[in-house]
Amino acid sequence: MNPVDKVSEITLMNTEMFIVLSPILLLSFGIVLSLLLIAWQRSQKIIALFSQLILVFTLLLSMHLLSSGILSGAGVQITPLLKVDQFSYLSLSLICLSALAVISLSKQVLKSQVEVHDEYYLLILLVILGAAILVASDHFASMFLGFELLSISLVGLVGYFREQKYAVETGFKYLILSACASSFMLLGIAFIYSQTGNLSFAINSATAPWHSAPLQLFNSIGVLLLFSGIAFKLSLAPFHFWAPDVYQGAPTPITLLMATVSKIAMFTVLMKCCFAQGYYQNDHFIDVIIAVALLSMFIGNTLALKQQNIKRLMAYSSIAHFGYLLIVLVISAEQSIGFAWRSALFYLTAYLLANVAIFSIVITYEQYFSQNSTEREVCLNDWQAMFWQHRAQAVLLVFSILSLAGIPLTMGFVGKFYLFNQAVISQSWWLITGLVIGSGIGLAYYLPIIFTVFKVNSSAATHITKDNAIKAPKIFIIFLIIISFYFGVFPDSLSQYLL
Amino acid sequence: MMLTLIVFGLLLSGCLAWFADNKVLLGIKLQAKWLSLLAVLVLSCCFLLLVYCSEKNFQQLQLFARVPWIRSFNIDYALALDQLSITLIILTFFLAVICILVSWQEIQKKTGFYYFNLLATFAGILGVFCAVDMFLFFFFWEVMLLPMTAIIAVWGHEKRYFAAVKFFIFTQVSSLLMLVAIIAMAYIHQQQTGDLSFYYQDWLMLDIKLDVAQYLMLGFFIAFAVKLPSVPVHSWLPDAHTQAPTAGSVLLAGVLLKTGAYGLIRFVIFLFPQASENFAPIAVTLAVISIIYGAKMAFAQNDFKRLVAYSSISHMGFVMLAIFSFNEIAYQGAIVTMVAHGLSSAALFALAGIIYQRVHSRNLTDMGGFWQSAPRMGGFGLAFAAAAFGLPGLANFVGEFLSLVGAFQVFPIMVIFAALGLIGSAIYAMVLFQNTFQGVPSKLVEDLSLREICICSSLLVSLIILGLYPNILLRYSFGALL
Amino acid sequence: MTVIPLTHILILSSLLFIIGFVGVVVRRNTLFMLMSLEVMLNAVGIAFIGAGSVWQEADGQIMFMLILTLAAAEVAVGLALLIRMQRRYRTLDIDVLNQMKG
Repeated sequence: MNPVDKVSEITLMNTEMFIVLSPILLLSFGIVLSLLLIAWQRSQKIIALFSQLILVFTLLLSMHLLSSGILSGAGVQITPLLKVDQFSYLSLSLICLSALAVISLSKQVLKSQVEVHDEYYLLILLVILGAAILVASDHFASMFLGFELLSISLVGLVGYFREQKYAVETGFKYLILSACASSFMLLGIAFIYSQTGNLSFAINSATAPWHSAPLQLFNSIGVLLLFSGIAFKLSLAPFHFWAPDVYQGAPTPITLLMATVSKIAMFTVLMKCCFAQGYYQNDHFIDVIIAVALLSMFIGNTLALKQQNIKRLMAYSSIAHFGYLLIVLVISAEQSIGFAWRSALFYLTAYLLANVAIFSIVITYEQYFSQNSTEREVCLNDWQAMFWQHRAQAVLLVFSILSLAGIPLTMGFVGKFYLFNQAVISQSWWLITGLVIGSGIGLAYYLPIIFTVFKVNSSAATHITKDNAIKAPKIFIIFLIIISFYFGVFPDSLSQYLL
Repeated sequence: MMLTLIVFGLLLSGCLAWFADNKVLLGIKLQAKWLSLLAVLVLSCCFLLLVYCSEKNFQQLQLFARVPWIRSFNIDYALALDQLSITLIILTFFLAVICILVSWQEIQKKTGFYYFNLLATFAGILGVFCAVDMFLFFFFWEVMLLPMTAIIAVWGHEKRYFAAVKFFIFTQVSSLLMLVAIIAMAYIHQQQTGDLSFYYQDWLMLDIKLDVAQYLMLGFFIAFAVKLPSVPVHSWLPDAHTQAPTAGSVLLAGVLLKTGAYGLIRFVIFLFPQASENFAPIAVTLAVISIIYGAKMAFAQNDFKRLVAYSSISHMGFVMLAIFSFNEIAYQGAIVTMVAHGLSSAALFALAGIIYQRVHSRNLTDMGGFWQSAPRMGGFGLAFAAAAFGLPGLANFVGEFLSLVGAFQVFPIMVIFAALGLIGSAIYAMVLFQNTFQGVPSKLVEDLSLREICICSSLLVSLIILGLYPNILLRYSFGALL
Repeated sequence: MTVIPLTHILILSSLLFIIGFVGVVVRRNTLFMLMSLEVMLNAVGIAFIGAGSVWQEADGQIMFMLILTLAAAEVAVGLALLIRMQRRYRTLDIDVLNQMKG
């Protein structure tokens, strides 16, 4: 391929591309506007409202594009850098949803602070923009840009409350490790590029023009390095060491942001990259995936067993969940790519809802603690007898935990059912074994949470009585309960959008 | 439609009982126990009417409802009944009444939520017995697990959390294996006919290669063997039984274990006839080990409930032995044993609950000589112990006798060993009776109240009727199996 | 002019990368950790430029510019955290950041 061909290949943007790209453009434009807004008037309320508005519009726009049918089929290529298909916008919608939840939860947290936190919302929007670029990217350069936008903004958010005990420690850990991960990923990209001569996802490295034994080796190392960079972000074992600490030390809304937005975006781009590059045909790569998946299921679930701190527990549980989710990468034929996307998106939706629910409950408890000026973290025991005091909230919690554990009546079960289907189709019996055993171990820490919630006579000194009620907004709770129940029993109503 | 109403009626009345508990309506203070008793009675009448009035021939599965549920996987909501399921559903309703009566005074805290869980469990069990779409079956299979775990974990005894977690994990892990087998079956159906199907009747037509079938059968078998339970996956049962409140134990022993046997008959044997015939020697060996091991362990227990729990393992061993001997007489024996064990173990657990209320202990060493202060209780105790060891004239005898006779034609040596279990059961039943009712009177206990007499006598009467005239069951369950 | 084989470039960049990585792992001073991160990123840059020149394309150099931007941004955030750390703990030793356990 000579440079002249390359130039003619690049078409300029046409109207259709602008329309398809509009959610991301809107998001970027919104960020600029909010910068101007800050220059004009500094007010926490206005900036929060404005960011929510931007997200709502982005969400509506991407939903509209999804239903309009423009995206059906192979998707729309927008310059070599971006390629948008329905799956990208489905994950973008998920990302916007969870960002909305994060912002509304942040409002509660920031209320107690005196300063005006414009930049906080701005950073969240930048994270979302990074995620949006990631899910739309079809090129290593755009993937890299999205990745870094997301990571660096997250570093800012993780250490945001600088007076808090763990702020510096968490921020530094996250910065160093995430920078290491991105340089690993970059080196991987460089190696792949050195063999294929092209940074686009669509170039299949197996059929690349130029083969020689040492370069072949570099290419394999490159793929591994790339995968490990992404695996770091997904906190898959053995790159999971940062997750519990950073989860614990970050402000809780930001933990939620990390657990949902960053992971959903990273997983989407991982799938895009793997399917476009045809890594699923490479047996060695599949073996690596299987090993990482099994290791993550095992490590995540076992280490979660003895956790008392809810945020740490959620970190380990998410390690296990992304281990399960790796199953969708192991596909046997190109025809099952569509099904793999559907499984992954359904599973991610279930995971997202459960995480939003659990973290919002954690935040209400943290709020309560900080009102009573006892700076401490939420532990399992704080949830004792919640069922008999705040019924709706407890029902939501139980539902979410059951959903994470994958018990019927919840979305998590349907998600797991998808994964089982996927694994049976690709006949990866090791993964099935891992999934079964992992779910078994998982129950051993999910069930005690539920029992704690149901505990009748609590003797703990930290017992919180009904008078000083701690509640998340009731409508929000009931809405989440209904949604997760409805989609759990009638998954068709959700999965018809995934077709 | 009617069947759906009955299943969901149970669930709804459970919700009603939960929310209406201790509310005052029209000057009457509503109580969850009355509401749920009423609901169970009304719904069981509905069910009997439904079966009695329908013109259908229940020798075969008769479809009652089939509507698409999850289209993307071609999953239907499908319910059907045949003689086997009707028998077990009637047993379920009967024991539901017993369970509610047993917990009448035992459960004092959070009554509303308790009865919700109880009724939800029954709804799940009913669903299991009539679902013919395998996804739906799995769904109910898991749904009945949740409230059952809640019953153990909230109202159980001292080590309830451990028991509940163990119970849940055992069942969940094994049922995930079944889920894998179910999904694999659906894809085999897709390979053979082009459509994904989870419908039981469709699966009966499948022609599965023997080597694949063996693995799939194993998936189902493990799930049901855990529920049954059979050695070596039985260890959840003694803990769960011991720690559960009385009604929970009655429910577990009376009905929940039967879902395992039901699954073995309906799914393992019918879907994979050839594979299960090949597997039969192993299954029968496991069954015989369960019989002897259960009897031996029962003899060694000091805890009243734990003893009865181990005896359940022994009795269910007979069911598995009979199921896997592929013999008409043995099948009938299996059915009778299932019902008889449901009644007799329920009776013994009820008795354990009654005694626990009086002496606040399950330990046999704390008991003794109750006959003197409570002769009626003693009489019932003797009768139930006799039922447990298979005294002729009571239902268990018929069931075990038929199972052994049937199985003897196929596995003579195994049956000889299994018959040893009968001797064992006589020993542990007598030990139980002696330790409780005979010997030096340790405490004075109150005799049975009217409610407790009702519970015991209804169980005893049904045991005697089935023992003297087993034809009600034999005639009824004949065609379902062969 | 002799052409340098691509493998040599890649090996050089791998070596530099490993040196940087070892620096991040071994160094206790956070400032030096940040500097080692720079070394890692620049090693990647060499690989990109080398590959780009072999393929006769601008892509590699563009990637290098993006990497430079990233490095600047990362150092900016890193130095900000460094100042916080110096103010709070009066040291730049990474070992003081070990309060979270579990």
